[in-house]
Amino acid sequence: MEKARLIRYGRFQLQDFVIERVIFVVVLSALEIAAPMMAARSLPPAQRIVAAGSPLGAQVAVLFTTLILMAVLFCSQEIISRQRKGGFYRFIFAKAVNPVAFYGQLFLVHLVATVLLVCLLASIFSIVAAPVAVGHIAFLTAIAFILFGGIGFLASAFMRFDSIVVIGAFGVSALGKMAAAQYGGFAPKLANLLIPTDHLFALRPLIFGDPVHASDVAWVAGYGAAAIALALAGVRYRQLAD
Amino acid sequence: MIEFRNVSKTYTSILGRSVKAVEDFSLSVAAGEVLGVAGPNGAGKSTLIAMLLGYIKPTAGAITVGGKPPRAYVEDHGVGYLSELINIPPRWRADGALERYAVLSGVPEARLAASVDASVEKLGLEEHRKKSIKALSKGNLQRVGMAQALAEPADVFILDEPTHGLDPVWTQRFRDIVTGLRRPERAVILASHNLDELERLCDRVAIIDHGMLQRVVKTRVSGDDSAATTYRVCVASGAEKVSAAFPGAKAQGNGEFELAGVDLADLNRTLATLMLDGVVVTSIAPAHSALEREFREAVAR
Repeated sequence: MEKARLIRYGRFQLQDFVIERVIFVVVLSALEIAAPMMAARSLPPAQRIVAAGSPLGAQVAVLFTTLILMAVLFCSQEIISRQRKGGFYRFIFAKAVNPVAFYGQLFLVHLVATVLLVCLLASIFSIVAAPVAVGHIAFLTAIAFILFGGIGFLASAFMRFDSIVVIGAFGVSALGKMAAAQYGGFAPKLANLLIPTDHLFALRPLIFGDPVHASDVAWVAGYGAAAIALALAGVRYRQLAD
Repeated sequence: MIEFRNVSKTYTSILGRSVKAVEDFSLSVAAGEVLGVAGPNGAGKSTLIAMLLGYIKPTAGAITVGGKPPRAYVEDHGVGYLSELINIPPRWRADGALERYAVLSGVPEARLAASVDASVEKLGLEEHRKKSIKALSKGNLQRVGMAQALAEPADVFILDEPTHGLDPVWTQRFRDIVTGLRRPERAVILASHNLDELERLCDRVAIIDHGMLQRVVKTRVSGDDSAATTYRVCVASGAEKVSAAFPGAKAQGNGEFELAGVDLADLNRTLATLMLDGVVVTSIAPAHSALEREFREAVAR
């Protein structure tokens, strides 16, 4: 019964996502994608090959790395804290609604919609400029969303300014891992507790449709999934109000 | 139906400063009852309501609704809730907001449009339904909040300052709506600063101050209470006969008298005699309501 209500409510969650997030991402992406797309179109068809090492490949790698990061960061933040800050949860959770299911579904809607959005942008690039591995890019977006979104979701369940915390945590993790690599011994093992930015970076070949190590996928997805599980536990056991 | 057992709530800041919002609060609300909650600003009313909805947890004690912890009850059954501050995303349209809340209340897809139309009509929002929430006046926003609460087919209703911002016409209509909420299986909690409203609508009123339950007042006047009540009697003609019949009456001018310490039965008998003698009585009411008196005593500092 409650499940059916929530599934029906999903269309409103999607509607909010499109209005509050997608428009902004599409505008920024259009600005970002326009120049590389035009540059690729100006090349002879034989040179329009997106592969590691190709002249266009380097451009496309930067383009899609930036695009995916921007889309994932913008679309995954404040999923819970926005409701809490605005007090919007009050009427919603006075209904027969389980907050864990509600926020879990909201996260899923954001994940799927972000992947579809990046797929759309990649498809447009493929049609207009040069063919890219849309499926692989979609997979990379999903994995990146699970990690960034998961950490953001966790922060969002416990604090208001989760966006700043997420960006800070990723920065600290990247620097921490670099520093730990220089020390050896126990330090790199300890650095494994930090957000797996190195494993995420290792997934970049997916942009060209190239294979990646399953262990990198497992690290990124596993870390993100653990953060999502902790966030949902926070929603269950922490107070709904501040 | 609803039970608070020795409930306390203490807020502690990051710096370790503690504020007791609710202290050792115990009270039961039966099914079929309309309970008012009154208290000065900061008395703890909103904290009590937030705990009753499971939005915050008590520091000590326990709350049960229908025999379950509040959050479990709300997730299973839903509650008709109107908050003091209406927090709806400002971008949403009024009828869109009602549609969303109706979906969460379990209104089937086939009846969704009709349900929203009925809510809009009941709360007089026809000309405002297409407006965004941010474009609504305080009173209209309050009516949207009320509409979403009333759409919930719940056995528990919690209405926090429901007439805040409403004009006199809608204040009166709201009172009729709350009267219509009475059901043998339903408990209604109404928090308000308006003692007159609470006295009209509620069976009992819990007066809280400093987070503690000061007293619970039954709003139905009984014969026992009448001797302590001062009545205000207004007459259109025959004022001199009233003065003669009630030597202690204080004339207030324009045919108005205050009668203190009069037994209600004696007052009725004497007035009946006066009316037979040609005195035209236009009104009789307590000069100060029992609730108002109790409230003043309870929160006196």
